Amino acid sequence: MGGMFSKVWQRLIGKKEMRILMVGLDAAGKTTILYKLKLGEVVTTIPTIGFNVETVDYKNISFTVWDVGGQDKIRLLWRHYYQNTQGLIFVVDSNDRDRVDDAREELHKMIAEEELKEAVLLVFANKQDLPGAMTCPEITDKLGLHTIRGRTWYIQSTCAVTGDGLYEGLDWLSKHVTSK
Amino acid sequence: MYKGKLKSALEFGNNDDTSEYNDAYSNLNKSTLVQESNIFNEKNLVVTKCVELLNKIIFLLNQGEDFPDSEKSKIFFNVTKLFQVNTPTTQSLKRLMYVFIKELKANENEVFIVISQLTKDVGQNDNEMSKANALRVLTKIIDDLYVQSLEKYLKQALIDKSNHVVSAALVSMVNLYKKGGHSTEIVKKSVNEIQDKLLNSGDGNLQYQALIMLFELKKNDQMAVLKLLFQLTQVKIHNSMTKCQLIRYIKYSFLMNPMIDQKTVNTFLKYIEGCLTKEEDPVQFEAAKTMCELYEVFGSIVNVELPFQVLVQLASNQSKPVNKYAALRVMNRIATKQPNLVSLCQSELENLITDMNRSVASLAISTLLKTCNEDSVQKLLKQISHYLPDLGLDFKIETIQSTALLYHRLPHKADVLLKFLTDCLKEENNVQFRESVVDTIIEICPSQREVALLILAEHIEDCEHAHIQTKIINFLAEEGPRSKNPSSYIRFIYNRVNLEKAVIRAAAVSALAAFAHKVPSLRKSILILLQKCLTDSDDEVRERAFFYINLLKQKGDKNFLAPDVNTITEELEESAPEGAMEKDEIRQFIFDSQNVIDIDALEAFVTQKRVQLQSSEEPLAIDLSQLMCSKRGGHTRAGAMKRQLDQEQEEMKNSQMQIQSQQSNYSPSQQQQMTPALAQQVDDSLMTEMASHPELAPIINSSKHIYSSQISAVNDSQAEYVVQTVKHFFDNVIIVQYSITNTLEDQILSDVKLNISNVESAYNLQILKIANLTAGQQIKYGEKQYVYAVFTKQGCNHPFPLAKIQQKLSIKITEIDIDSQDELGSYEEDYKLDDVQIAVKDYIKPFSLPTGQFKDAWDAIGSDSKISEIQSSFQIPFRVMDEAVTGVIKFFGMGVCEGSDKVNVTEKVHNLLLSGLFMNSETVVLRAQIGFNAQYGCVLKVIIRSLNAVISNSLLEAIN
Repeated sequence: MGGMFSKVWQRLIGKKEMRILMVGLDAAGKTTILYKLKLGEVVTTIPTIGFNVETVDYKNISFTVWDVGGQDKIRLLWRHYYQNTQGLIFVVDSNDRDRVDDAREELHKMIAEEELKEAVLLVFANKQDLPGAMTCPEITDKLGLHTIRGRTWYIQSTCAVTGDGLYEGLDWLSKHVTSK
Repeated sequence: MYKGKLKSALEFGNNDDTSEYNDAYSNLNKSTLVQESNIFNEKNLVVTKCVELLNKIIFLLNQGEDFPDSEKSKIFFNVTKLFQVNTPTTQSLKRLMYVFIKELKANENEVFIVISQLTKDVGQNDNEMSKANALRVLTKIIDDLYVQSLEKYLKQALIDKSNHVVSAALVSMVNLYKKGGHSTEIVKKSVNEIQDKLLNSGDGNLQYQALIMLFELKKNDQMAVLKLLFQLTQVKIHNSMTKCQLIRYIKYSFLMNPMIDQKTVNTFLKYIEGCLTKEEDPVQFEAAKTMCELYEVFGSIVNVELPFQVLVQLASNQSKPVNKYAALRVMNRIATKQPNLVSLCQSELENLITDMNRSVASLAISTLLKTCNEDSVQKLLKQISHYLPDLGLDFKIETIQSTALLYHRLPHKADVLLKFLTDCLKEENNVQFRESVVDTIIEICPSQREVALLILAEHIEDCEHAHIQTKIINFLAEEGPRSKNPSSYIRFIYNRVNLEKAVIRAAAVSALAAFAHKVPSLRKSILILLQKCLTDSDDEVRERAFFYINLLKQKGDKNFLAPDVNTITEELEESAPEGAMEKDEIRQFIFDSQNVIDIDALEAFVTQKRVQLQSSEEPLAIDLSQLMCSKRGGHTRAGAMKRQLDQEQEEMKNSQMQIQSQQSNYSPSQQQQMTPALAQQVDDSLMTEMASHPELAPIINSSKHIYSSQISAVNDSQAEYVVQTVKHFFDNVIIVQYSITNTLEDQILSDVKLNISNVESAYNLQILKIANLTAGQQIKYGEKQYVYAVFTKQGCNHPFPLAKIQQKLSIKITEIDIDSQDELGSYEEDYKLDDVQIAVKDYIKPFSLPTGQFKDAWDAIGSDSKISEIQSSFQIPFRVMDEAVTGVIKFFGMGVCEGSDKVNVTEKVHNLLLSGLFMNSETVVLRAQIGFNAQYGCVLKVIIRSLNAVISNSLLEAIN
């Protein structure tokens, strides 16, 4: 009875909406992920000067994904997009061992922000198709995810070009954001 | 109920500030808006609310408001959240978002955050609104670094199927082009596409934008511009805005292209002429206006009659107010130069006097007053006086001031004007209005003295405004004694003494005294009248009366004074033995001097010296000459207006000059045209200076000043003492004023004496007097002082004598220490000067006729009588054409017309056209032909025309 009612309710108010902020260092593959999700295909991208915003419908949830560029000078402006964010996707280039420390620093800086207190954290360990890519446990370790307290987080290995792991990530998000 | 509404509406109109009425856009609070902008961030956007808020913010930005940096950032980022909305129902919100980003001058470190999204919007194909708007925003915020990535989008947008997008591309290009750098280069690459839009587009707006863009791109290549404009005249143009712009560009190109050929000119003129008919009002107006303006530059090859008819039609009663106003403005302008043309449409203009729109009516009257001729002036004034009572006060005053101008144009009609003004005095009792009428009558007075004075004298009886009364009384005191029957005014003035308040009584006493001094036959009777004033209840009146009686009293007048007064005055005179001698000077100072003490200057002087005055027992010597200001030159408002008109004409001349100078890079006529205004100023200050010299004052006061020459240098401007001369011509004397400027810091000059060794004059001009520096007068570093040589024309056999004067200055030089200012010793030195000439050019004020008008002036003078023209040929000692032309211009000191000072190397005979005002009154035009001949060398042939044969002859004689 309750389930039926909730379906009717959902039909009345339309789809559920969820606001997601996707960040990460430059060239991590954020824009490719966004358009793979949106269009189902791989588009040629140029470094994002600013942001891209798209709505991705998945399983009756409308994800509004803000993909904000990862270049140094844009990172300073990420904070303007924290407000009302329910889910934070942090994309890491699994093949870029040199800058994984930078990535960790940015991540920890961000999750210390008051405005993101309520947001769940999903890490995409991207570019898993490349031969020397770091594995999920390795990245978990390098990013210091275990040291994070009081936040729901999850790490998902992905490959934006093939689309592997992207929807699994969204599944996780839909579950954990809704449950709140 | 209606009554209640009406009442509240009226109240609303009356007390704006207390009204409760508020719309959403008054009293917007910036920080509240910034707070509210958080709604853009919400998960569920309420579109109507967002639209409302954005409207308010954009409204503020358009009002010129700006936000502090931190608030600006906040609001900017909040608005960028709106990029997520993307449904057909949110189009209006998105459009506002674009407008907002375009209007907000966001921080450049932040604004780039939207570049990616905007580029995406420009690149997509399904939404022309986003595409066009994003393009406009993008070009506005983009910097040189990213602009290249924009190039392909711009090119695509330019050939987009949607006109909105093409239009956005064109506007964006106009904006980019102005940025310089890469942006400009990108635009240049698209010149062909833009030209295609201009010539082939079916959309008028696109044509307009393309025209603006192309003109900007090509404007440095005048040939290309002309070609483009020509092409445009051959294709169909779809809106009137483009046509107007095309006409303006044609005018611009004409003025920028000195070398433009006749055929091209004619083609374009024909096109513009075609626009005069069968077009929308703005196009017709633009065409008519342009032709009138071109007429001023090109003269008679432009037909002005047809455009003028169009203007008249536009100004007619059926037309819209904006058309009327615009057309009248152009007509008013034309009226200044071509009164005849405008006078043809007198009746149409007369209809406009009663126009509902005040600005239109006022322009119509001003135009009519400029153009009406002697026959119609009476009718016009009658009409004006008919409508005058219905007009507003400001407007009435303006009309009165315009009649003052009319007087300067048609001095013979002063009688008609006076009648009109007299009627006005009866009509309205407002003080400002009355004052302007009185001012105007005073202005007219010189030509209608008797009538004007009588009107004024009668008016003091009716007038209730004290300051107007005193003004009139003072004026009567100045002018009355010169009238035919001075005694008639005494009654009017003395009546005031009996009837009015103190301030007027005092003025009347002074006026009576002035009459007594200037009209000796009335002196005794006036003294009796003044004596009665000694018992006045007011201190000032009594003191003035006492002062003047004492001043005017001569030996044998004693009987007229009350015995006690008599004793006092005698005692006074005894205690100051030099009193009797000084009295003459005082009388002269008070009654005859052209100058009055400038109260402001006196006040400044006293403030400055106050400390000195308080501490010192010694009486302070005041150099009055420094505190003088000229009484001459109208203090009246009408006088000010006349000057303003002169200035306007001067400006007009200057603006025309600019056009000329654009045509010919540089011409001396430029400088010469500047001089009249300057010379006039010089004239006034030098005259004042001269009148203050004690030895000269009697001479100046007894003769009439006619004209002062331009300043000419006697020695090098780098010399130790710079000497310049100005010649002042009076009816019976000529005064040469030498100014000496000390340029040495370590010297003080004194005892400057002028020694004239020889005067060479074929006309028997004799030296009368030399006025040197007065004893004790010094010339310190940077200062300038004057010495004078006065020549008498008595015994002279010519009205305009010439002379050559040889002279030297003897100067006592005191050397001083620059730092301590201590004197180190002094010596006398003779300082030899170059010869000073009273030459023909000193009599002439250069006055270049406006381009295109020389022929008219020439014909106008020539057609009157044959006597006025004389011609002769001379040999002149020049070897090169250039030098000869400059020499002739310099000799006559006249203004160059039609740019005829430019010498074409190929021509054998050069034609030079000159014009000037002889003694600032008589127009002289001169045509000179200069050529070279193997036998005689340089030959000059001159034809001179003026209305006065004596003047023409004097000029010719001078060449010999």
